[in-house]
Amino acid sequence: MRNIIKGIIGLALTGFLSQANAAIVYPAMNINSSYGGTGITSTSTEFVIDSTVINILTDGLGAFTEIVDQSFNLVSDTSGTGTITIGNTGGLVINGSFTNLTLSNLGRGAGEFYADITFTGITYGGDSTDWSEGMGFLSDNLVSGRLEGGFVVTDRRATIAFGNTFSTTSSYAELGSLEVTAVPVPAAVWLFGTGLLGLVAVARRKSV
Amino acid sequence: MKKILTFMVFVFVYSSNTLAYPVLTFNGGMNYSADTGYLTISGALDAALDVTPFPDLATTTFELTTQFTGISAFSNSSMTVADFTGIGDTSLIISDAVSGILLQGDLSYIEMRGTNGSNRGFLFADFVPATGLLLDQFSPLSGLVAFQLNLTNAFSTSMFETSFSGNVNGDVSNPDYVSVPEPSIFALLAIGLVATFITRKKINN
Repeated sequence: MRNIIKGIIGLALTGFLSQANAAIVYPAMNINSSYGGTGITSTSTEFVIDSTVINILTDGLGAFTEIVDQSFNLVSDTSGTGTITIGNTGGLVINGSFTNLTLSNLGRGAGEFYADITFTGITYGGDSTDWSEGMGFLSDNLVSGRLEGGFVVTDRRATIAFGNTFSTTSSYAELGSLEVTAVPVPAAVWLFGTGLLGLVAVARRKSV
Repeated sequence: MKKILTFMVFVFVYSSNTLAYPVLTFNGGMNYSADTGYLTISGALDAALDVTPFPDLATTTFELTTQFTGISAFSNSSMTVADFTGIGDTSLIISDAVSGILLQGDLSYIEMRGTNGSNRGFLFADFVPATGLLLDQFSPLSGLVAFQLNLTNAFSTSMFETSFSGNVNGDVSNPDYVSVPEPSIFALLAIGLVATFITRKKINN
């Protein structure tokens, strides 16, 4: 009987821990310059995205719609190294860095970009009027993420590559595959955990 | 005189730095049928650039039809790329009520791509026009690039197993088309200013 209970407890603890610490990967933000910002500008020295976060995809984790109209800025040198900032000055701003931004020329004047991002911190300014449930969740859980996006250059004859001059009139970008280290534990797991504690108590009483 | 020359060089550079190839911009609704594999876009032109004759935008129609052939090998854990094929010379028809058929032809190398989990992506195609009033300006090959928005199925390798719809906006352009740039408004202004200056100088002398 004790071995069975031990086995159940071991199994339950494994499930509990994996549930509590599971990394969730999901697309997090839609970013679009047509809702604000100047879009993408590439020069001989840098690649810049000046855009706006328009929504966060929910993927079953709740709707964080309050994050709309937050600035999204990415500045990269021509080696693909740089920083990102998400949020409006005077409110809550999330900061990150990256080292391997990659540009792909898809042809027909279209391009894509990829970067692995490490979130480096969060700053608060003023009275934090931009605080929201979504920003709060992200600021508590962001560790690393993958930025992916696409764009179409204004002059289709431009060659999309670092160091070349081109700009966009419309673009979209997505902060996708966002890795979250801590996940709120579902109520069912807590209930299961308390049930197991009860079992342990019963087992101990029996053995005494 | 030096000042005039500097001004004219500036005006020349500024006026020549414009797009000089034909572009037709469209937007509309998109539908994909899982039963037939057909992807259709029905919409209208909302702008045109460097085309002659200029379309009657208020009465234009944009009809695109293509068929899903499979998920591309380029797809990976974060990106889905789907391949399509044209259905002959009725793959794309652009017309208006005044001129009739502006462009009609087939589509080749069609792909739809987006980040998995997202409801937005790109549609790319090569357009091979066969007929229409704008045929000479978009032949032999033009590019079609469109953003897909608000898709009712999020991108994934299984997204084409069920029907979905969405919004599309994009354009058909031919950057390789060699056109004679029309004198822009700035060039005309420069000529006018120079003429005025010369006239004033003559009168003063």
